[in-house]
Amino acid sequence: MILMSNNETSTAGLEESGVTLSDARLVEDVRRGDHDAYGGLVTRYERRLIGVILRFVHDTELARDLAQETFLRAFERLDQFDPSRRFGPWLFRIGVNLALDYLRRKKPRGWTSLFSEAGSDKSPDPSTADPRKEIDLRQEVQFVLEQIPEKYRTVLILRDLENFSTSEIAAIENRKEATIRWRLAEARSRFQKLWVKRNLNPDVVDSYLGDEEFTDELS
Amino acid sequence: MSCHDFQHKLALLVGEELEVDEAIAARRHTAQCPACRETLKQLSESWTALRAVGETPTEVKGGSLWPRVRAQVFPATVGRPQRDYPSWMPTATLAAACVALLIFVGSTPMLDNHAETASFVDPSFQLNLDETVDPAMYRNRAPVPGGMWSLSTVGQEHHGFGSPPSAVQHAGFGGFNEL
Repeated sequence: MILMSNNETSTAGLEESGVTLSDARLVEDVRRGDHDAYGGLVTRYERRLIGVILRFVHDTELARDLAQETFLRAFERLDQFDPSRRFGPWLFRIGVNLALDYLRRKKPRGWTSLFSEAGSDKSPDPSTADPRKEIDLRQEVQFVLEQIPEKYRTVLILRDLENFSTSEIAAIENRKEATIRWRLAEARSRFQKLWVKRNLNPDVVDSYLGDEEFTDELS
Repeated sequence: MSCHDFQHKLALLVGEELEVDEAIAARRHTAQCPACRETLKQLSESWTALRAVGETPTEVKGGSLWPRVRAQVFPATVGRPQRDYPSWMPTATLAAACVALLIFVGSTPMLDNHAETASFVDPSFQLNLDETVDPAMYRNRAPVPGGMWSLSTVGQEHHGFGSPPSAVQHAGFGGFNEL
């Protein structure tokens, strides 16, 4: 997971004389014709963006291509960007929409190809006790996620896989935060029902849960 | 509040996204309701599986996208060496060169006005021409090629800039011959 908090997202990267340039400053510089300023924005967000898109398309090269297209679209629409808003959510909105558009255009695939692509994203690590468990769990989660309607799946991926806050997701989705919270609750409920019914190697999940009972923590 | 009303609350409870008072109410309800307790257990299991996958790093292979993006967004700049001077520098340099050239040309005597220039450089030059040369000396001689310049410099050293101009250059300056 490529995690970067909101603060890190807005401050990491380009520095000038020891002072980090804000996204707004870089956008302003780009609008004035400073090409290198856009390079600063690209290098600041590219890894995070590729990681998010990868959650949707499960193919590294495809994720890179879509991320590249995202930066091109963002540049073309930079005059439409409201500088009083944050650049990051605006950029991720373009990227997520591109990924969803790709998935809509793509023909439904069989499970074989889906799993083989998922497995190719991460080769087994010899240092892991049993890498098959990690890969199997990811495949199972992916399998269930694919059965959830897009608007719920998107929120679930952004919140529970990519750790965006609900306010950030609201900015990315251009919806009210209350709407995102409702969708998140609905998405988790749907995922839970499908997860229980999946009937695919339940031992994998149990190995991650261990002896700890979540309900005990809450009570 | 019914069990149905608590469904969404429980889904947000597992992610600790409820307000404090809402979380307390949800926990009280699950403590008393076996069905909701079972739902919460299943929600926590599925959510933990999601988080486990989320905490597994995604490998973002390859280098930066910037060279590829730059090639498409700014194709004219690709392959061109980076400028290490301000964009106004070439224009300013050209303007300065033009000004320097104008100053130099302005301070250089014009060939057509060499007599005035010569008198400016050496005021005695024109004076000598008027006072010491008796045109009568030349009345019975053939016209001197070169006109005034040749006449004025007979027996004298040249005081102007450079070499004396040729007769061709002074072809229109024949007023002296009328003397």
